[in-house]
Amino acid sequence: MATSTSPGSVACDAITNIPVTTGTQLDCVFAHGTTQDKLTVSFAGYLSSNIASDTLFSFKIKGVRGPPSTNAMTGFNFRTTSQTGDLIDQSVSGSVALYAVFPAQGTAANMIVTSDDPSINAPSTLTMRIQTINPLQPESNIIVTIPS
Amino acid sequence: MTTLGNSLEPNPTWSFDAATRKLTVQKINKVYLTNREYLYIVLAKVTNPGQTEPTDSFVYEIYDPLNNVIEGVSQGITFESLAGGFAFISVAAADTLINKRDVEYTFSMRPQDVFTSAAIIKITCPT
Repeated sequence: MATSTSPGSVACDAITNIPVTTGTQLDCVFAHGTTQDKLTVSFAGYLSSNIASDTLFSFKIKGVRGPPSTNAMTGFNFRTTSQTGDLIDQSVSGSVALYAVFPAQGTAANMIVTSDDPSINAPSTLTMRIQTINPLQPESNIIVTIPS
Repeated sequence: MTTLGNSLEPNPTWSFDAATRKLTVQKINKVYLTNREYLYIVLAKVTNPGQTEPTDSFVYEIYDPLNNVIEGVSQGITFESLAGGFAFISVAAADTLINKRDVEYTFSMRPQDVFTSAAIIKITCPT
C-alpha cells in the first residue's frame, strides 16, 4: 500500500487547475488503517473558486512511502465529496494502478557470511546474516546464490 | 538448512540447485518484519574453498509471498578461507659447516591441504 511515512498532515501542493487563494499549499491528511490508508484533501478555505466539471487537476503530496513490493498496486480509489461528506464522484474499483516500482538494491554490508571453521577445505557450517532494507510480509521467500 | 530467530520458520521449505548454485528458501518468516531486521540462514555441510582467494559474490534476492522481488544484493559479498598449515616441515643442509659454499638444502613438508598441480611454493630464506 502507498502510505505516508507517518499519519497526519503531509506537505501537499496544487500543481494544475486548482485555484488556490494563496500560494499552492493544500490541507492534506493521511489516516492509517489496517488494510488501507486514506488521504483526505480538504479544499474549504483554500480555493478562490470552484473547479469546473471535466477539469483535469492535479496535486502532489510528499513523504509517501513506496509500495512494499514490485507487484502492481491496483487498490487506489478516488472519491470527491461535499463538505458534509456526501459523495459526488468516485472512481471505478481497480481502474487506477501504479506500476514500475523497482526492487531495492542493497550493498555488500547487507549480508555477512561467516563460518564455524573458515579453514581451507574444511567441512563447515555457513551462517548468512542478511539485514533487510524493507519490511517483509509474513511468508516471504529468498533466493541466495552461493558461489562455488 | 535452518534459520535462527523467533521471527523465522526454524525449518522452512528449501531447495538447492547445484547447477545454478541457487538456494531457495520459501516462507522464511512467520511474522511481519519491519525494515532493518536480520535474517539468519544457516547452511551446514559446506566445504570451504581450497585457497584463500575470496569467492565470487554471494547474491540474494528477497521476494514477497506473491514472488514479487523486493530487494537484493548482487555484488561484493564474499567469503574467504583461512590458510591451513603443515603437519610437518623441515629444512636440512647437507653440510652444516659455517660459510660453506654450494651446500645442498633439502626442504620437506606435509601440507594439510590439497596441493594442486598448478600450485606454487614460496619459501622465505633468512640471510
